[in-house]
Amino acid sequence: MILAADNLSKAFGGVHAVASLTLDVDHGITAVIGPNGAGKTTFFNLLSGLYAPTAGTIRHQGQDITALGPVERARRGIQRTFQNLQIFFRMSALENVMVGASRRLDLGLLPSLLSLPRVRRESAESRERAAALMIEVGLGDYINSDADSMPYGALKRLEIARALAGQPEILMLDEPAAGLNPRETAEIETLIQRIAAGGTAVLLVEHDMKLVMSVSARVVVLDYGKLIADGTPDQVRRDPAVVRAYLGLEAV
Amino acid sequence: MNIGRHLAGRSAAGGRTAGRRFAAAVASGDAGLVALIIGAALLPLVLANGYYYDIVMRIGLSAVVAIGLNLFIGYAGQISLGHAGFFAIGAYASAILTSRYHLPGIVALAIGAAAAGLVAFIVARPILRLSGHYLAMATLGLGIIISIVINREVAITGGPDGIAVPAFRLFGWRLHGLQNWYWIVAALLVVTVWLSLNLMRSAFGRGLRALADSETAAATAGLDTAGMKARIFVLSAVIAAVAGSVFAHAEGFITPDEAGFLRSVEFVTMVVVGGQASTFGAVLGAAILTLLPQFLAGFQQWHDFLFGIILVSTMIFLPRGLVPTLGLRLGWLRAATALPERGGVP
Repeated sequence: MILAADNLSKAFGGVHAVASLTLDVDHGITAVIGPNGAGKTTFFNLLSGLYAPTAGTIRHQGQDITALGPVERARRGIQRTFQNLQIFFRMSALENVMVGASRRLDLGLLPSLLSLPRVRRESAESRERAAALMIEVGLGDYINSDADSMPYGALKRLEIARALAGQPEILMLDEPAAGLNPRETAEIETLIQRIAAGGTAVLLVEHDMKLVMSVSARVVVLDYGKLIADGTPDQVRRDPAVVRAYLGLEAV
Repeated sequence: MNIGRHLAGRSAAGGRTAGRRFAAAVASGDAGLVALIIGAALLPLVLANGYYYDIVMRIGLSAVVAIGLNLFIGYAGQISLGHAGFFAIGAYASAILTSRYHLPGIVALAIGAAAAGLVAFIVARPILRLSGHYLAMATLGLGIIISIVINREVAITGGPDGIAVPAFRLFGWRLHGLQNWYWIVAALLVVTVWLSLNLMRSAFGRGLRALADSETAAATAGLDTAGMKARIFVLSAVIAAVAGSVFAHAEGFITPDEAGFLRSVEFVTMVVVGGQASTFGAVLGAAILTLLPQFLAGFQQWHDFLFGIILVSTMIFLPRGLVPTLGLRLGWLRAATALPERGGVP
């Protein structure tokens, strides 16, 4: 497995956003679903190192990475997008994607100040790669655009392109279809499938059940920070605990 | 197909067009550098006397400090109200080490730069965890502490009366006269502009601008944001100290005013007025804010008031600053950053 959470907990004051969660993530597309406040985004923040867990461990390729921060985890190939867009709005779309490739670039201050040939070559190559990547994800029309002039749907895609530029081993998508119209959602669905088909593991938090059920090989369900179901989309859909969590006790 | 990995193998094929596009993209910045060199070479033809040389030299050295500070404020999106302190560390290191210890000027300059860099390095980690008003307060405090030390350590620094600085000596050769210093300052400015332009075209420079917009996203892209901010803070402190050393020798006399809070505010004002995140904006800001008080020499007591007005009006009417605003109007920036359509000719 790529990522493994073991007895992972995160409490904010008295609220247990994630409570003793044990979960492995492997290749393919895994969706994390659950009602609002179930702890999905907290779980993502724990995996990407933005939060330190209250208890429990996280392992990547068998190694304990619980103590590592977001930078080290990104450098290990754990990349993500954000539910609330975290775009570099004062940069061009292309530069946003170029920054995504940072973990593979020379960031030495002295070579950069002196513009050594290696730095210049890397910069030119990363520009070209970023442009090609934007075309691949369907952002070809925005290569010359400033990020702050792009429509919302394109920005969601730009976050995915930026994360892909880091050539992630595992890509975590936090509500990639939120706020998108049905056509845009269908395009995102195709994109997610292509990413997974290329060997990148995808961990997906999403509220659009049609999208979740059609792309995911595996669906895990959280409620009040606890794992309540884990299986194929069909198994999860029929699980009484899931139905209860989503619709309330009366519906069962 | 893995989109990211698939593309990794593709860059070689696109290398030639990438090179051409890249050349087109950097052309505008290089043109500015060439213009600066030509301007600096021709300027002495119109400088009638020592007074003008003195003003131009002050502009050049302020521009050097402002370019360094712009990396930290304009690009990385941080704030420092203490950079006059670093300028003063350089100036006083040169003054004290050459007058009392008779060290060669270049050695004193290097020690001053290293001292400023060390102070910046030591305070960087704790200070740069702060942001916004808190960072402003912390850097303000740092500047004030340096200023107080210079004012109080009378036996070493000469205190409020200031200190005379001997001529710059190197291998028995003695540099003197504002006309000669002009060329040193011009060279220093050109080199600083060149370094700044280089940096901002690199992945490091893009990373700085990225963390200014979203530190979270920059960190999750694998950028060591804390380390990058610290390194740029140290770099800008070293640049300020070098400018301070040259200033001390060229002027021959320095006072603690150079370390004062108002000097720090002047440097920030230069960056903001000229244009944040613009290397040439910092140069223009330094020129404007050094020249203006000369035209208004009869209103000496209004000097600080005037700077306040300029700073506030810039924030309100030209929040991007002069050079970026003009650049957008004239389409420079778009031309400089845009890639042509696929298959198009730049």
